Amino acid sequence: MYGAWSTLLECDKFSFVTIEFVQPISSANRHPPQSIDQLYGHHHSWLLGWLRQRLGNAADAADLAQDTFMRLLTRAPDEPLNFTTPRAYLATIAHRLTLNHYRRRSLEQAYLAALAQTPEELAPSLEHQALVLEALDEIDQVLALLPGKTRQAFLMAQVEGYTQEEIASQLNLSVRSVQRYLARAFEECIVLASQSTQHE
Amino acid sequence: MSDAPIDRRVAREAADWFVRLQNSGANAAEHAAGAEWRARHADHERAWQLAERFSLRAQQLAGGAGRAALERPRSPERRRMLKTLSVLIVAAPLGLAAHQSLPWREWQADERTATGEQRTLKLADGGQIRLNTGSAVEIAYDDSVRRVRLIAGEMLVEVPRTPVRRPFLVDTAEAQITLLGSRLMLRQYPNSTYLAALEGEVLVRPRLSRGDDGLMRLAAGQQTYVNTLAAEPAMALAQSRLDWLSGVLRAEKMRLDDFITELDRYRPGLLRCDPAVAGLLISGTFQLRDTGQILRALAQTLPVSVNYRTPYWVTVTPRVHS
Repeated sequence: MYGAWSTLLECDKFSFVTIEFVQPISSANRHPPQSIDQLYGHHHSWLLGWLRQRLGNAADAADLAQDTFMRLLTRAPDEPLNFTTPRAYLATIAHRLTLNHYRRRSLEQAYLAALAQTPEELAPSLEHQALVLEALDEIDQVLALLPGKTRQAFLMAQVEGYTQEEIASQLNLSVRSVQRYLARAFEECIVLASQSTQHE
Repeated sequence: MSDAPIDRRVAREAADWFVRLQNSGANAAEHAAGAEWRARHADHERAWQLAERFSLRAQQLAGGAGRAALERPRSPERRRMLKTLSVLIVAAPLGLAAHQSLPWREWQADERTATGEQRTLKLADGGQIRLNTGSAVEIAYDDSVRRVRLIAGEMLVEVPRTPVRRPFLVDTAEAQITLLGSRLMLRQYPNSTYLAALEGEVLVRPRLSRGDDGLMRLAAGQQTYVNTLAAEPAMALAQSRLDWLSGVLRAEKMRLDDFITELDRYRPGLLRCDPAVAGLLISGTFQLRDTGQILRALAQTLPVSVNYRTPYWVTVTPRVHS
């Protein structure tokens, strides 16, 4: 069913501007929600459908819809909620979590595939594997934010132990450029790590 | 833990120091300067520690299956994922799908303006970008595509009319925009992108829309706001949107709190409006070059006082009659 409602654009500093929104909504959604409870009540099933359509997998969709609302409940104390465009807001968070979910899954698969190549007597215990996966995940999250050359320079410097000069000559860059790439990577590390310690 | 997230500027400085001092060529003076930087603020030290912890963790993964996992090919994975998610456009106009599915390329430039600063950047195709206060863009031009990413703030793009073979694309947090004409204005808001087509058409694609669902064509002289799912219906361009280009802030019966919020973008430090005077209406044309002058004018025309706790902490409150 198609409906229309008027909403004040919270993002617009000129708050007298009133915009007409037209999109498929049920009559229950004419008034923007005021709390996470209401957000859940009005939009959870929409989000579920949205995710299911994209993922083609009901179980993953249900998990990720749940994770989306968990993310709202455990957000940083100073992070504002956006109730003015609730569906775009939920979709944005769900999309980010989905990308993260698939990234993590592909990391696990790649790790297990690589383990399968190592001789059995050298394979780490299951407990050790879990620890390694945690550490890998933390680094992989940062790598996912970086463009190709930056990622390559970072892996060479941090995981493979090349010096900055060696990286510069291998990638055909100046040492100063390599330092810029590495700094960009560490910047993301710091920002990401300081955000995640908040939830601990 | 109650620690607040670390400011990106601090993170950037810490990363810069960390990388410089990791280089074996760093001398004693540089190490001393780095130590001094760390000691200057608790957040500096915290940021440094996070970098160090991260670096150690990465080193522990040297060799073995972990490294192989980190180095797994990513672009096919990304393409597969995009397909699964159906984020990718099914039938892209102008054959742009190839460009849009490419993973992020290395950005060539990272340009910023400080609070209160406006600047014009020259582009390789003879075009230019005007950046308003507190803005940041990344620019990547190559033979097949010209790409600009608006990270924060507001900009006016003016480029020679787009040859179909080398499209001009703008990315924002909410949308990907294809410039079919030659002049476009954008502003990044917390949860949406404002855009206005000044000359020629603009094609707008919300990031999370499917197929042609959210696709919108904006004609010259129109503006809209886009979130990640949809663009709002186009409206006629509000001429006041162009005011910053001539360095002025124009108000027509604007609420004082809205006026102050807008003025705050151009003034370093904190500028706040007391709720008691928030509803006062203000009209006039103000030169953004001197925000101090604007604040003095406020006190002369409205029943308000402008209180300077410091030059960087200003509040506008009801005028007290003495």
